[in-house]
Amino acid sequence: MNASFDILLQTLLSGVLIGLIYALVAVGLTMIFGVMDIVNFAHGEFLMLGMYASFWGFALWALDPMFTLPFTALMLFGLGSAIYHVVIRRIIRAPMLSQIFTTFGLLILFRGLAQFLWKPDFRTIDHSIVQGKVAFAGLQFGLPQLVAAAGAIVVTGIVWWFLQRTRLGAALEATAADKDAAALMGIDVQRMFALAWGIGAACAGVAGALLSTFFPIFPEVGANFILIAFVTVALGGFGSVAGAFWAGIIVGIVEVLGGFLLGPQYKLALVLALYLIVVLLRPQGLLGRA
Amino acid sequence: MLQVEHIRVSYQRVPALHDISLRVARGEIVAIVGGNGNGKSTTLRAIAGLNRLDAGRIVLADRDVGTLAPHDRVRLGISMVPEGRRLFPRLTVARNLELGAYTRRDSAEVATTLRQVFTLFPVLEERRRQLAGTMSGGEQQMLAIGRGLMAHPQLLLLDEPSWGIAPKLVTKILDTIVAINATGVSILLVEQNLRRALAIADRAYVMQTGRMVLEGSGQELLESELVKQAYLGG
Repeated sequence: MNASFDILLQTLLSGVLIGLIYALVAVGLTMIFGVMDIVNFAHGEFLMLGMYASFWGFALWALDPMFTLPFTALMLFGLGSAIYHVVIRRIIRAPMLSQIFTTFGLLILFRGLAQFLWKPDFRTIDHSIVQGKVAFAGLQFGLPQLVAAAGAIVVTGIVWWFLQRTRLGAALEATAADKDAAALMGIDVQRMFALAWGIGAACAGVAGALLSTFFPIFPEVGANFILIAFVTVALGGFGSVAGAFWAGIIVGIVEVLGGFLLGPQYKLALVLALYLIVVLLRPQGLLGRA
Repeated sequence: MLQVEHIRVSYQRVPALHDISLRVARGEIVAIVGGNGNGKSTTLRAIAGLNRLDAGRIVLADRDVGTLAPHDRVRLGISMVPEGRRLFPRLTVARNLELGAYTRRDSAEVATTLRQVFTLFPVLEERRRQLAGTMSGGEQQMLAIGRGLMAHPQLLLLDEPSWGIAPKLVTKILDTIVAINATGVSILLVEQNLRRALAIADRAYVMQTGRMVLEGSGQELLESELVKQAYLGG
């Protein structure tokens, strides 16, 4: 094997690793959109809160982010469903513009709160149990990135299993397909909406926890991920969980490989160009419904 | 069994139902007939809980259910087969039927109901792994009715069961409705196909512009001058 091939392969796989995190964030976003047609602009803030939950668990009680991860997931699930009941529930039938302003308002609220409570500084978790590098077949990866990617696969797999194999998951899918018909089946549609927000927030929170071992933690960190999450959701097809998963990996590869070939300043431009191509050629996304 | 008392319903403040009252006795087949856009579907939707009441009461077996959410009414025994069927087209026949039994916990009883549904509509058993959206209109209607029965209702609301299906299948569907009724399920039926509906109904109501204008037995209405002139072409 020659050296340039190794570098290319290394870059490609790095793209897949970060892409899996993008996938998890997008799965949460697409789930909320799929079930109730509301775009959650505060989705990146759920990720940010997941990072801070990991950070404070580590800073205050020396609990590793990997250990606190299930609690982070539960906390964000609770926060997501609480936000549904307290805020979103009131705007379900409101015009789309009001819905956009509402979730955008949540974004500003959570960012502001994080700045106010935890200062705008960059924080890092320096001595997690996952650190260092792993080498095999001439390639080298950070252990945190590998663990994060594995965690993202597991959590996406759990969400997929839940939707495909459980009664509640079937009810959630039925609600996404047709709210009135779901209600006529005896499904409590309000409860399904809250569940979608809970799961959506938990996905983003877990992604935040997985990122916290190798990514700086700061109040605006969600902004780095939300734009990519929107591209991923559109690429995968709005509302499609499987689509979001594969699209996340594609976006990760395009970003990292393209950045490597053309220069890092073009990373985001390439991702957005990919989005434009999809919108032009296949507006319903890879696995979306036409 | 069901008593609808002076209900009013509006869409975005535009009144759709003005003071509608009707009743369905236990074991009856009752039809609501009338032209398009006169509030027949809205009446069924209001009974199922999909439309909010501005006034009036809906009493099911001595209990006012008019303010309950749709899913709570399903638990109390009201099941609706909506206009246009509203199946879950990307789910299999079996999954659609399972969702129909969503409120029921006893899997042995659900299995019994499923066998009854398959006896009524053998084609559903043959097609149970097929996606609902890929079946013919008639088969989809059978699935919609089967799904409605999976909730084990006391009262089945049927909105235009002959909509979009081949004429020879209409007879089969209406015969099946009579057979379902014979098992003790009360039926409230909305139908465009007036002659057919009145032929199987014990009693019927005629609706015009959000009001009930006539009530009587199926036979009486078939012979009434108003119905003849307005709907049966003199």
